[in-house]
Amino acid sequence: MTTTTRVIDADVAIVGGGIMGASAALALRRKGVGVVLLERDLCGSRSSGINYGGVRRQGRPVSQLPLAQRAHEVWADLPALIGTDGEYQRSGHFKIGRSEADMAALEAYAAMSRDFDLGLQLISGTTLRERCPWLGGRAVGGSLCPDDGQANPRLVSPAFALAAKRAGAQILERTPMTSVEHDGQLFTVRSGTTVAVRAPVLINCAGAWAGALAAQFGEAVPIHSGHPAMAVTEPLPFFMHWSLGVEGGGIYCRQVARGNLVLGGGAGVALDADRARSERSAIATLAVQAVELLPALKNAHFIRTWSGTEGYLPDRLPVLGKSHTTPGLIHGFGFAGAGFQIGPGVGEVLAELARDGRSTTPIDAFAIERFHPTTVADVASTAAAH
Amino acid sequence: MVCRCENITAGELRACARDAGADEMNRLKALTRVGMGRCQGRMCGVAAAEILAQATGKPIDQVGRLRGQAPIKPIPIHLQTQATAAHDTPAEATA
Repeated sequence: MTTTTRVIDADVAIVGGGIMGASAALALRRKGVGVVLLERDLCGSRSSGINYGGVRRQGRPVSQLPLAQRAHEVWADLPALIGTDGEYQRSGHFKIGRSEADMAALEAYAAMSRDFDLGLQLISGTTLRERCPWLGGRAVGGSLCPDDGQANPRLVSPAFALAAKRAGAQILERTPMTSVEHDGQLFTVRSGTTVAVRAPVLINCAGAWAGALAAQFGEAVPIHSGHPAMAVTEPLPFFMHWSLGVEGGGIYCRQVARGNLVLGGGAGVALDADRARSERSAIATLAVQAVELLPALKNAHFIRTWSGTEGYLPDRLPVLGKSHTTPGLIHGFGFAGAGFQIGPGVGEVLAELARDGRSTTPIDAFAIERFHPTTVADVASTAAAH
Repeated sequence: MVCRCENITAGELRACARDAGADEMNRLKALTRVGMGRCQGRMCGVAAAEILAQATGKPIDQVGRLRGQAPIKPIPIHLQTQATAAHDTPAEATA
């Protein structure tokens, strides 16, 4: 047999063309680093491209806020960076409280996140009714983050990959990784007999499917897949700027400029390891909550439902940082259904880790070692034994 | 005009194939909105596939088809809320 494998040498190989991998590729190219990205499908066609589209810092754990703030600055410059605004708007994100306890929790979050200058405003009583006459009666108030907002993920995520390509990254779509080896110096990432990419640095941005690559290098993590239930209405007359969430979770909703309302909440079902859909009972529950939140939706129609496959770690924090076992391996996955906003910041951090070996943004909370409790002495003795 | 729900022209579809490299129906949909309106591609899907096939030089059976996504036709939200009551589904989502 005379199969010719195309061999590509690069400074950095990236596995996964979602918003994390694609924005890392772009950030690396802007630093002049040679990048090859392998995506098994089309870039931004999985969770990065079909998520709700919330661009939200409010409500994130404080450990994520430095990263979220960094990403916030990247979002501000989106058209210059990726050639489209991706329908990004700083339209405000309003987190609704439905009880005094919810309001106390929102107040506590505002106090806890004060150092990050999110500009949170607590709104209740007559001000609430004046500012949002469309809101259902169960809402007693909420917390507004005026500079949070929304964007269209099916435009933004592929655009990061396209921008990386224009900047000189080699983006190999429909190219699934079938094996990876490390000889101590170089990684060799293969896609069948078609392509072999050799690079001293490998970035694992394989999303919900990243666990296998981590496990191969002795870093198995308890990642599992989640599937949000999502639905969209036909275009309705525009009435709502804010993207809405609810304290404690349950439903989230935004109205796009075209007029459609995008809603999510509850869980869909997995069809297999790669595909998921919303099923009837989740959509029915979502409908009840939607009408309670926004009574005007009573006479609207759902025109489409969908779901996707997202990676979750048990603590709902991502894995982001250098491998603990393998020099040159860097992880960035498991964003627990909340990766879209921080994606462009994660890309910059991954690029720093790849080029400089360290991040200028604190990421210690996301270290993969949190799942592999070992002491420094253990590591030292293991190293000595080799 | 190919997609009447979303006002997408044949020229926009061809431009998307040319400039963004869309060579498959769901990517064309994601980038242009074709098939994302009330009809969900029931009216425009086949015409859009023919245009994409012509623009990419592929046979029509190799440009894929729009992913099937429930519901089959638009459903009033209030009917869904009744479905919940009838099936006695818990009113609170778990997420």
